[in-house]
Amino acid sequence: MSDRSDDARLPGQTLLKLARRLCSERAYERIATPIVADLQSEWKDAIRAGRRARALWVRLAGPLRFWQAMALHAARPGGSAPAELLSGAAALRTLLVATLAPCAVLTLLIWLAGRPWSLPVEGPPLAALARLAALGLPPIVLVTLPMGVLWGTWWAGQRLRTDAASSTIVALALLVGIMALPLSLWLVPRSNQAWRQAAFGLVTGSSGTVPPGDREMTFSELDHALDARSPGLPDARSDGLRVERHKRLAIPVACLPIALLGLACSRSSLLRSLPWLILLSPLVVMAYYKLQGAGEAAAELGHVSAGLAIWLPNLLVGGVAAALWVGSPAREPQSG
Amino acid sequence: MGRAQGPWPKLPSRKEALILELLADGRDRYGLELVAASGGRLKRGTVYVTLDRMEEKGYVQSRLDASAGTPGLPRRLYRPTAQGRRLLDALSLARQSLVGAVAR
Repeated sequence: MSDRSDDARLPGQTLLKLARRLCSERAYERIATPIVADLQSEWKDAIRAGRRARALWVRLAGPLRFWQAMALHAARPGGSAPAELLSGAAALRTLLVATLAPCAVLTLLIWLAGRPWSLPVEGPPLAALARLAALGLPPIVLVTLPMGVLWGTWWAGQRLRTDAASSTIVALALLVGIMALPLSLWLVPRSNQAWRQAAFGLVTGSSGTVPPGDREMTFSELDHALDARSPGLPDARSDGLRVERHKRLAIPVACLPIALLGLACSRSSLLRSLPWLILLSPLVVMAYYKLQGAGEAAAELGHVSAGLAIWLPNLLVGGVAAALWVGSPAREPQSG
Repeated sequence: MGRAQGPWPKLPSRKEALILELLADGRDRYGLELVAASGGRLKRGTVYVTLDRMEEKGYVQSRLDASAGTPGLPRRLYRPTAQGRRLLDALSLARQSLVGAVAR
């Protein structure tokens, strides 16, 4: 007989409680409890042997295996997961791969094109060069994100059986955008500034501080800089700061209209093929950035407001996506 | 579910056949033992799903480990059923015939 207080200390109790609520009686008995029993036995063995790191690993990895098994059980033929969810789950896997792969490839290509190893200095220390090269990565990752999302949603959309599962794809693209926000608001400007400082030190040998430009300010620093300027007085510097502030938000948010465009293209009988994806996706992303660049220049000259200039490409992409979606036939669920 | 189509019985999957082979020595085993014995061919996250499917098909049967006296849940032990053993014999025979036919 097991002691209740001892049982309460064992890992997996919460998993069991959740499984009791969520699963069928059979899944609870045949999937959930055997996995938790294994988890507890492994944990007890590790504790008995004084292997604390192993015990911690068992605690961390056990729940992952538990949910993997529960998902597989639900997804089996005749399982409790609805077909829509399964169709969405397959598409999500594709989306992740198809988003990350072009991001990684593009990041590497752009990074190599910048030739981070060729600084105009004699015999620079390798560690300093490596640091410089690493600091150059975050802005490139951010810039390649829309391309990755377009590829991912376009590709994943082709694997959807019905339109209903599209919402899971959009939700994931939105999540990618939300996760990119800290990158855009904080990490990229910090990394830009650190890169400038490191390059300055490497080239001049000086340890002086390089003042940050607009692109090297975090979102809150941009806010403070704008607050410090005379309110209501239009000037080019304030416009530049406003443009930069809108850009920080616009690129992560662009994941949403770009995801909608990718899904709409995948639904169109004309555009859904791979050659179109290869041909059109760089054009779409380049057009997006060109338009944003043109808007930025116009806003800094005071011709249009900074908000309109920076958000217009997002609105246009969203509009094209909506038009394509409406103009393409709905996916028919396949019988059998 | 799992109904044979036509005159041929539905064959077990590769994982199911592997589990039957690992259980063929007559000793009851739990999931992690099977994973360890499989040399990486079975995964921890999937083994119980496969075992559950095999139990539904009647290839294996399970019981809780009554000998466990320590705190925590008792482990579930698996053994092949008579049908599972017959299936494994048939698979071995089929494999031998196939190898013989190809080698001829």
